[in-house]
Amino acid sequence: MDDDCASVDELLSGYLDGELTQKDRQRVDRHIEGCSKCTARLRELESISTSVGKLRADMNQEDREQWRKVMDNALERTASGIGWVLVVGAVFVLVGYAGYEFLLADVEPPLVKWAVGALYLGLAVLLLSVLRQRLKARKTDRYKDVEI
Amino acid sequence: MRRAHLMMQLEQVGPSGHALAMSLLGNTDDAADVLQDAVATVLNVRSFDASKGTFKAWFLAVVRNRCIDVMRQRRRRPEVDIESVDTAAEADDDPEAVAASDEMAHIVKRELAQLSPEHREILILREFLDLGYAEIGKVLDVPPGTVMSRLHRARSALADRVRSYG
Ligand SMILES: [Zn+2]
Repeated sequence: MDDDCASVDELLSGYLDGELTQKDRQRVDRHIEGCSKCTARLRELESISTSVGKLRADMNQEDREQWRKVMDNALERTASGIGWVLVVGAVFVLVGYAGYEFLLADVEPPLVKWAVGALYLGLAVLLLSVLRQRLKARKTDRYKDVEI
Repeated sequence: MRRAHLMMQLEQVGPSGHALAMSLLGNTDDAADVLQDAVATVLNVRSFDASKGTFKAWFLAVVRNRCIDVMRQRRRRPEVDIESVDTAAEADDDPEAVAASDEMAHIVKRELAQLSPEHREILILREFLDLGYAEIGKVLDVPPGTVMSRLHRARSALADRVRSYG
């Protein structure tokens, strides 16, 4: 390959894709007119490009199906997230209301009141510690501050 | 409503993201994980900054970064065969598929799977996803001139391999 052929060769992919400047495109045009070697090379690159493009058809189908699964999964997770928020919210309200009513009610013996109080306190402490661990795990999640 | 708009944009570019992830990871499960992460990232972003190029290019760049993370993890875990990263995307040798497609397509598919991830990804971006050089540059974070030379080397490498079948 002489120097001219070598420097034209570098431009052939850009030529095929219509990504060259006008000046470079004209240079390739002029060269391949008189060079059968570079013309053959251009045809080869074109046929490779076409062959790869042809594989797209069957892959497309597969990609769409897989993508569907990913999105369904994401939607499902969002839906179950909403479900959990509703359930937990409702439980909080009901338990809070029950506790309030219980406090106001006359219950004998007083030991029962103490026991129920301790039960509520215990639940609150457990909840807080779970929350704390969650927050900690989130801080160390390497995807949190990802640069894009 | 911002989220709904993002979801709509995602729907359009999602399959392209899967094609790119598959070309790099060659494994449906890993590709699904990567896409799951990429979707979460996109939905967490306040708004898409159009100065970064097209939404498609940006999404593909997010997918690609996740793929690179996964590939690095595989390299760190010695029990995983490093070579499998390069060859995992190997074409299926299902005899029916071979008969259905012509032989050239089969050879190209197999040889494409044997290329380096760098060459494979740029061919996927160009020939499968029809991205222009400027957009490919945004995905790979390189200037358009580099896109042209790298794509040319990738096509040449594939042509060399295919030519060896005579
Ligand atoms: Zn020449």
